[in-house]
Amino acid sequence: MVTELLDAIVSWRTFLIALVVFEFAPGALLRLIVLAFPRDDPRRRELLAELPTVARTERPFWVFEQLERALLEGIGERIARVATRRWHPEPLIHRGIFLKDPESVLHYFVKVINRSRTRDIEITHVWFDADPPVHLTLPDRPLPTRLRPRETWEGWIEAAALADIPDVERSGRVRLSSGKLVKSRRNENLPPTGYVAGGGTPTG
Amino acid sequence: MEDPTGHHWGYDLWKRAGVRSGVLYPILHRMLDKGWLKDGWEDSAQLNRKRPPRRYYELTDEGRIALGAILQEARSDARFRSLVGRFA
Repeated sequence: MVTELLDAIVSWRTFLIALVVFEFAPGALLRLIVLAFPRDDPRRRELLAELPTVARTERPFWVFEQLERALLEGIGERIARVATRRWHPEPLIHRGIFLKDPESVLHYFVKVINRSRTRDIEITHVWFDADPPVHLTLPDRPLPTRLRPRETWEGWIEAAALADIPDVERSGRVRLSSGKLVKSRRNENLPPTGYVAGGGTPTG
Repeated sequence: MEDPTGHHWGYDLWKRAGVRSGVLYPILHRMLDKGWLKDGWEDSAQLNRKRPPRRYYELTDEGRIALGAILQEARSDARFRSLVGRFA
C-alpha cells in the first residue's frame, strides 16, 4: 500500500501533471489558491499582482509556497474569525483622570478598536445603557466616524453622569453603520498612565 | 534596513531574505499590526507594464527605530553578527 502510494507520488505521470499545473498554468492555479483567503483579504489581490513579476523559472516553487501559505493562513484566518469573532470591534471601558488637568474629575473612557485587518467600520452612536440612555456627544470626537483597520476611537464622560448605572464597564453600547450593536467590557491590564486615542475620520 | 525609506514588495523580500513565504508574510503582518510597517498599492497610472498594481510595504518611523535597535542589539551578539551583515 505504502509502496504503491510512493510509486504514484514519484511516478513520471504525477511529475508531468505537477509540471503542467505549476509551470504552465500558475495563474489559473493561483486564482484557485487565493480563494482560501477571506473575500475581503488584501492577500488575494497581492498574490495575483505579484505573479507577473516572479521569474518564470521560480513560478512553480513560488506558487507552491502560496498554496501552503493559503492553506495555513487563509483557512486558519477563517477559523480564527469564526472562533473569536475578531472582525467585530469590542468597546473597552476604564476609569481615569486627565493628568494635564490638575482639577480633572474621574471619567469613564470608552475605547473602540477596529480589530479587522482589512475592513473599515463606521461608528454611528456610543452610549451607556440606562433609563434614559446616556449618549457620548463630544465636540472633540464627533460621530459618525470611520475607523480604518486597526484604528482606535476613544471618547470619555464624567463618572458623575453615570452614577446611577451599577455596572458601567458592561453598560457601554456602540452601534455601527451596518446596524450591528456591540456591548462593552472592562478594559483590563491598563498601564497606569497613557494617551487618549484619536477620533477616527468623522463622516457626519 | 538597506533601504529604510523605500517601498518593498513581498516577492523581492522573499528573494532577498531567502525564507519561505509561510515565514515571511506572517512576520510582515505582525509588523503591520505593531505599526512598524505600513502598506499601500502601486499607482496604476504610473505603471508602464501591463500588470496589476502590487502591494508594497514601507517602514514607519516607529519601525525604523525598533528595527534599528534590534539590529544594534544583534550586532553586539556574536551569534548573530554574521547574519546581521546580510541585512544591515
